[in-house]
This record gives sequence, structure tokens and C-alpha cells, in this order.
Amino acid sequence: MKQLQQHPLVWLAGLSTLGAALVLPGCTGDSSPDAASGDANIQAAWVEMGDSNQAIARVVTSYSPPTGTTGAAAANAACPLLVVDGNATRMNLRVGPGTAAQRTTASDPVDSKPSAFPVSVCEATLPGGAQKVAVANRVLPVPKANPQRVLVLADTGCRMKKAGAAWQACSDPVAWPFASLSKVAASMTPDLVLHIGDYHYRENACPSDVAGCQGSPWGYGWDTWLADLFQPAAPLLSAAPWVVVRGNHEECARAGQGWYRFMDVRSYSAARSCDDPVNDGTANYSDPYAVALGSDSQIVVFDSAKTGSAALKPTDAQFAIYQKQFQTVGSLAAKTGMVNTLFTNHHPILAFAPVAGSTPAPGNLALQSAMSSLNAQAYYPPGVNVALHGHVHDFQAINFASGHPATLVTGNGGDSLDVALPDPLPAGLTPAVGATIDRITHSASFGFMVMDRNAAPATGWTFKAYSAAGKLMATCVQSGKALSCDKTGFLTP
Amino acid sequence: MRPLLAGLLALNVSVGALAAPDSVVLVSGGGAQKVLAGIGRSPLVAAKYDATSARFAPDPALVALGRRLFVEPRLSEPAGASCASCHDPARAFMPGPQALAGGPGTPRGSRAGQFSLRNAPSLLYVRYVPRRHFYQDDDAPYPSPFGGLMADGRADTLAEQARGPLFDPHEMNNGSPRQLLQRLRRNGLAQSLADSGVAPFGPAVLRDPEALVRALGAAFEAYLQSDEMAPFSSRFDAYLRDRKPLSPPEMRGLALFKNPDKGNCASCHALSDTASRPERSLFTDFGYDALAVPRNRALAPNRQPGHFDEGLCATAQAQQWPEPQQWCAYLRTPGLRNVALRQSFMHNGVLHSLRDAVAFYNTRSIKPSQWYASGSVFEDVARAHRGNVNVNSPPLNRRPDQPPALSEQDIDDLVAFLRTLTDAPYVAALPPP
Repeated sequence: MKQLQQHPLVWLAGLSTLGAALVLPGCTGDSSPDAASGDANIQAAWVEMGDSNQAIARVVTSYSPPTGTTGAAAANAACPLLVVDGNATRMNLRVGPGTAAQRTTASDPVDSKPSAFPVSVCEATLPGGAQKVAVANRVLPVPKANPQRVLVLADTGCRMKKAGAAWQACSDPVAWPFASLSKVAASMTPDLVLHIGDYHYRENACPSDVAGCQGSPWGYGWDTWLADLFQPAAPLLSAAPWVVVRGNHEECARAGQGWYRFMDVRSYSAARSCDDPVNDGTANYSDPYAVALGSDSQIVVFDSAKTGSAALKPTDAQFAIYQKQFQTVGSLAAKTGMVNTLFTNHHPILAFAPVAGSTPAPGNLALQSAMSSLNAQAYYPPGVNVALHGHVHDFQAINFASGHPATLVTGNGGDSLDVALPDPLPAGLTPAVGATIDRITHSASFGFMVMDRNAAPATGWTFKAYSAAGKLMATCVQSGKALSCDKTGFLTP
Repeated sequence: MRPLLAGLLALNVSVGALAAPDSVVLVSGGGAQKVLAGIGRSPLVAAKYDATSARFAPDPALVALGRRLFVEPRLSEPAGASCASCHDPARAFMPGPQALAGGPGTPRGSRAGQFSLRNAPSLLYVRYVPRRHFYQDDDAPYPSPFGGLMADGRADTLAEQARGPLFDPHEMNNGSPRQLLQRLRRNGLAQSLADSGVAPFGPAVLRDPEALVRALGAAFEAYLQSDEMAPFSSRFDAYLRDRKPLSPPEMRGLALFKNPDKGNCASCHALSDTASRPERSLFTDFGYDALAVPRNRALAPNRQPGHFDEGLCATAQAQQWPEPQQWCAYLRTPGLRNVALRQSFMHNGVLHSLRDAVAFYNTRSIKPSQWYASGSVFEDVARAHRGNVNVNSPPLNRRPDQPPALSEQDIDDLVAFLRTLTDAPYVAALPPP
């Protein structure tokens, strides 16, 4: 990815009044407003943390440059100017508008359609130490060197799925509270937002008789991403830079195309776009990377979008892929001077999937099998103290007596909730062979989590589970791999 | 959504004991469903059953004959008990006070002093119950069973279901198909059916007991599939169609019904209250659950301490599902339409008011002594199978030291809402709130 080039010739008209139009005096000598930077074009704008700790500004724009635009600037002509500490530079085009031919999806072909993206995605890497960043009339959040508060959420979309006969009432803020949850969460002024996957759930067309989802876009194109993520999440997108984790709803046969256009931290490429199913074998996986939380803490981001639920045989191609990736996790966690590594992926590994009327299912056996091939029953490599997941639509906070990393699940961000875990858990129940539960705190209400850095000299973080309305439900203090919660068992809302 | 196949089934793994067909039709006119695998003798389908896919077009002549046979007292031994005796057309096709009088909370059979071993459901809307099948959502750890007639799913179709009461000694007591044919020949009913000219009745029913039973099943199935058995005429249906508002307590009750932190009823008794098509609000997902309602000591078999109604596990065994014991105590979630007309509640008829039925969910886990007279929690489930009981669906998951999810006012509001599910012809028969 290219670093943002700063052009001193660019002048921002009234940065303090960001509503003013950007004017580009320059090469042409004219001082007309910059059309690409008109705010009406900007559909979404945010900052996310990349795989080399760089902050990436991203914009989705509906602007189309005049036909006939030529020259070196033509490639980025659709992109707006990004103003960083007074210097404006045109953003780089990540990917232009496009509609790929209809591909195989998780649904029947008659319930699928080509994914239309009539928007351009632009990006720019922010220089280290950037203080003020703006695009059009929007101020973008900038990363803090030593973030103190991270907002954590997952599984936020509104379920529209024919195969499950599931039509969540997307227009009902009680049935799908993500938009209001996003406002409440943003009011807590996080320094970072960690979304642990499953942004997109509107897969099939709402039946004509169901008012609750009537008029909603469906499929995997831009319109659904806008409705399911960018509109409701706008307060959180403007509150802080995001760390983005890929969920199973973003695998290639589902919303993978949008994932690569909008969310993935790496450069866009056709080969990893999910447009062609031939490439799914590579595009459904991506290498882990670390996002620094100051100098001594980091979050290692892992892509488990395509994991199954059964243990993998060593001969399985997926086994080798995940094994290699967990080797990378081990290298990242072993970084010199790193005191606290938090691991995050979508599927819970040392946590439970509740099942009504039966023993909860264990953690993800496929990932466990790859992990245990490297680290035996420790599963995680040394240095990983905390694991953060989504996927299961509830909240879980687990402390282990067996020295495994503290594990938290926050999959209650808006999609239909799962049943609760039994309270107490059946004696001896474990999410993985060799892991022994000391205490578990859990709920089955909509909500999110806040993690606050513990005041020095302590290390670690304090995790707070909130309801969607912002009611504090439990507080858990991490110290190393230990997690101490002020409540145990099921939390009543 | 209901349970799973614990342990044995990992996602996408077929455990079919028999070759599974490529597709299956789960409900009349519903179109073929893709089958992913066989689980024992039952299909694992690719998509969740959708009642709006059903299309019913029974032969009108067979419907008329089925309607006539439904009230035919000569179909029992001794004569006197018809289908309508337990499924009273004047009470939404469920047992009325007369059927329950003097009994344990289940309706009386044809023989004096004999009562059914299970409560009788309303037969309205029964046409939407799909055939037995499994379905696994892609986010679910295991497949779950759905459908099948009877509380234990042992009948796959309405026609097959008709055999149950006909030959149950506690209900119509016909012994065997051969005995039934002999008796119907004696009382003239067989001849009259053979002469009816309505297929599949014909001369064969005079000599072939199985042909007779099949024809009776077809007639009952046609009647139960007729539109008159799915009136959708309740105030709730008017709310769905025209957004005609319910009263404030009823609306509060609806909200509590849906709220996953409160009643959480809709997680099993599924509805779609923004959908105008009422088939989306049948108040059941056709799944199974183990609630562990109190033991009904008035039921004759329950005088034996070791007797338990094990529900789905006998079906699981017959269908060759893996680990059938995991389904013991599971019963199919009934629809709640017209539930406020009921005189007794739960599969064993142990509860006698709608308010008590709602309250049971609210306090089963926090005040078990209020429900289990023996002092033994889950007393009506065999000790070996108590681990199957649902202890994690709110509000069944609360600890004794926690407050109930529902206040007394909440329960009243839920009852008020449930009364709106009463179809128009039966409103006058509603008991006082």
C-alpha cells in the first residue's frame, strides 16, 4: 500500500469549518471546488489498523470522474482529497465500481444475484503521528500511540436468510439493535474499535409479506453492506480506528467480495477478491498480523472465516494452512518486549456454543486440531494471554484453572441471539481437552464489551460487559492469563 | 431453536443408516426439499421448513367424508367415542370440559374409566406440521429434529397419525385393523364407506383391513388439510393483516413474548408479527424440547413410580437416530393458537390454567418446589435422562437466587396476548381471564 504523499500546494479552505468545499488551486490554475471531495459523494469513511501497524484511511465514494479524464491522475480521479494536519492529498483508488458475474454463494442460484458495487473504495496510509485527518466535511479518528480503551463487538448484522426461514425485523430497533448499540458504544469514547466478524447477514430477499425487513437490500453488494454495517455503525466508525476481523459470513461464498473491497487490510487484488470461486482456496484465508496496543501489548488478528467445526486430519489441506498460520501467531507473540498478547478470531476456540436442552458444544475443533499439533494441549503459543471471539451470539468470560488464556466471547452485537449457557455448567465440562474451567460469566442479551487498560504499574486490561443500552453487567480484570470477574454464572439483564 | 445430536454429529457429516433420497416433500404442496444426508431413517434437509410453502388442495368429496367420519361414534370400541369427542369442533378441536370430566387432565376414551395417556392438541392448523426431518443452521453446532405428528413425532403424516387414536386402548380401542374392519362390517359403516364412491374408499375396504385404515387416514388427512381447519380468524390475525391494534396489555404481552430477556417464548413458539401471512405465525417452530413439567399423578400409568413418558426417544430409536436416549423427555413444541381455550395444559395435562402454564416457565428454575410436589426436580423425567432437560433457554435458566424474568403483571400481560390467538368462532367459549 502506498504511503500518503503530502502535497503542500494543496490548500484546504477553512479546515475549521469542514463543511466548506475543498478547493484545489494548482496545476490547472483554477480554484474550483474539488468535485471528488464533495461530501455528498462520500458514503462512508473510516480508519482501520493494517497489518504493519499502519493506520489506513478508507472512503467509499459514489463519485465518478468525468469521462475522458486522462494522465497520471486519472487512476485516482474518483477519490477525494484527504487532509492530514493541513496537507491535502488525493487518496488512492483501492478498487473502482464493478459487478462481477454471479458466483456460487451459500444460497441457491435463484436466491442469489451478482454483487453490485457501484462505488469506488479509496484509501491512504496515514503518516505516523497524524493529529488531524479529514475528508470532505468529516473528521476521521486517528490512532493513539497508547490506546487506553478498546470497544469490542461482533455479529452485528440483521439476519435475512431463506434457508433458515429467518427474517429478523431490520427496521425494528428492538429486534435488531445494532444502530442504537453503536451510538451507545461510541459515547464511551473508545480509542479503538475491535469488530470480531460477521458484519453482513442480509443474504436473501425479504419475502413480500414480511414488513419487518421490507425494502431492505439483500445479497452481497454495496447496498447491503451500507444497510448492515456502514449506516448503523457510523457513530463507531467516526469514534475511533477499527481493527477488523473476518467472520464466517465474510467467506467467499457469502460476503467475501465486500470484505475484500471494504474491510481487508491488505492491497486489493482480483485474485483475492472472491469474485471467482476458482480462487476461493486462497481467498478464504489470510495471514495473521499484529496490531500494537502501545509498546507492550498487541492484538493478533486471525482469519478463521472458512473453518469447519470438525477436527481436521493432518492430511487435510486446511490443516496445513491453519497450522502454518498458528506458527505465525507464535512468532508474533514471541516478539521481544511484548508483555501482553491478545489473540482474536471469529470462532471461539476455548469457549462454548450453547445448545438448548443439551450439553454445550466445545470450542472450534478444527482450529484446536491445528493448534494442538503445535502446542499440544496448551493450544496457544506462549505469550498469548487473552483470546477474544464472536460467532456465538452471547457473552462469555472464562478463567481457566489450567493456565489457558482468558477467553471472552462478544457475539451479541445485533444478530439474533443464541440460547444461554446452562448455569452452572455441567461438572467437568470443558471447551477443549486439557482445559479446565475455573469460572465462567455469561449472558444472552444484546450488548458489547469495553476493555480498559489497567493503570500502571499493573499490566493487562479490564473487560466490561455492557447491555445494548449501556448498562454495566460485569467487570473482569485480567492479569496475565487470569481473569477475575465480579460476577459468576448467568447475568440477568 | 431446539437441540441437537450431541456428540456424534459434526457439521456436514452424514450418518445415514439408509441411503437418503435426493429430495423430500415435507408438507403438502411444499415442493421438494434438497436432502443433504440421512440421519438414521430421517432426512437432513438443506433449508429450514417454511410453512408458507404449503399448498393444500384436498379432494372436496374426501374432505366432506372426512368431516363426517370425524364425528362418527361407530369408529370406536365400544361405539360412542368419535374423533370429535377429544377434538371438539366447538372448542377449536381440543378437549372440552365434558371430555375431561372426572379424568386426570387428559380426555376420556371409549371405555369407561379409561383416559388418554396424553393431552389432546387442537387439530386446527395441524396441516402445517411437516414430516420428520433434521435441519442444521450453518451457525448451529448440530442438526436438530423437527416435525412429525403426535407429541413424540412418531407419525410422519396426518394419514399415519390417524392410526394412533384408532388403535390406542385408552382412546378408540379398536384393537387391530382386522378387528376394526370386522366391527365396521357388523355396524354397516364399512359397507356405507365402500358404497360412498369417494376414492380411495371402494370394495377393497370391505375385505382388506389395511386398505380400510389407509382410506380412513386419507379421509381424515383431507379434512384436516381443508381450509376450514386453518381459519386464521383471531384478533391477532387481524393485527397481522390490517395492523388493527391490540390493547395496551396485549401489546405488552406480545413484546414480552418476543423479548429474549423476558418471556423468550418466541424462541420456540415462533411468530413473525410484522408478516401479513399468518402461516409465519403458527407459534411453533415444529422443534422439540424437554421442559420437565410436573408429574401428573392422576394419570394411571404414573401410579408406577418407575413409569415415565419418554417422548421422542422411542421415535428416535424406531428411526435409528444415533444415541436415541439423548431425546428422552423431548416433546414437540405445540402451536399456541387457541391456547386460551384449553382446559388442561402440557402434554400430560398437569396444569389447569393458562396463567399457571406461563408461570411454570417463569419460576421452574427459581422456585422448583412450587411445581415439583415430590421435592424432586424434574420429577417426571427418568433420572438417567434429566440431563436432557432444557436448563438454558431464558427464563428456564435462572438460579434460585435470581429474580424471576417476569413480574406478576408481565404474566397477566402475556396471558392477555395469548387470548388474542383465539379464532373468532371460539371467542365466546373463552374462560374468564
